[in-house]
Amino acid sequence: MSEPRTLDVRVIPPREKHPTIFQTFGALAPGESFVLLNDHDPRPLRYQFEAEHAGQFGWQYLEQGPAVWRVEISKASA
Amino acid sequence: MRTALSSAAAPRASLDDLLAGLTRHGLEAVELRVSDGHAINAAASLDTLHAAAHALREARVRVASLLDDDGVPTEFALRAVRALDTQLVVGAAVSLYERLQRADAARAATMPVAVLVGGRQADTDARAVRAAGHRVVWEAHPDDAPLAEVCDRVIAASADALVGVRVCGGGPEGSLHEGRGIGALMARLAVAGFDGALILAPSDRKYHLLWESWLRRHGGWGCGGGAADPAERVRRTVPMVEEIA
Repeated sequence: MSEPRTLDVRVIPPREKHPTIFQTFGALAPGESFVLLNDHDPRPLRYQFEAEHAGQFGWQYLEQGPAVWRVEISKASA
Repeated sequence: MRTALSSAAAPRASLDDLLAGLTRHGLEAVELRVSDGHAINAAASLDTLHAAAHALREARVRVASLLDDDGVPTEFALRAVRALDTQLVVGAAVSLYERLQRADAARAATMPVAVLVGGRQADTDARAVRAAGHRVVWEAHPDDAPLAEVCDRVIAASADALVGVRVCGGGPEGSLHEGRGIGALMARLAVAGFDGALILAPSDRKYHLLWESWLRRHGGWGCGGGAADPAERVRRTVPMVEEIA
């Protein structure tokens, strides 16, 4: 087991996707990150992060389609 | 972690059709179950294996594993594993004792090999596989929920020997298995930094038409409510195998 941490939400039942992403984010230590892998642009998720974790997260697109979106989501350092 | 699709999802599909579907969905690897329609089986010539390897390279798809449920001849397995640059996974259709014997034979033939474990005794089997010096592929099935708890035990038992997780019932089947812990399982693997192969597979053969339909089209199944879930629409319009049998 080693880096990189990847969460492939294509596998996850639709209603469990966002809770799983926030659960994974919650398990990060400050300064850590994971790569979210999805089959569409997770913009609504970003809005939810901004609403619930404003100033506490980083969001960087690593790949933007057409089949796969990869976003590195980090937890801000304390 | 790289995500693969098992040919068990579309057992009638040719290798070309599988590769087209994998590319369409941005999947990086494939698990080839020996008994499926891709023609990588004991009757395959060396030319067939080399042609398959060429097609895989062209599609930029790796073979996560060659899954053998049937005990294929060692000579074929060795040729295929070498030509496709992959590992043999001894399937769980037989007892653990027999799986370990097959894995020992594969290792003696200098083949990279792993052993599939599953069910509620997955962790104890994984511990035995690791003790025998073999690698572990865990089959996570929604019937064994809660999967996150089993996952913790399998990770503890396997440690670095865990090289693959077959997630049965995710993807296009996912909304049928809400609450069985697939989401929590994925979170556990992500947080643990699991860097092996994640293999998407159907949970039951009755879902083949659902998977085959998904493989042929673009796009995912979104998030949120089932009303916005394309897989839900597919289920309403595509009969399951059991319904047309």
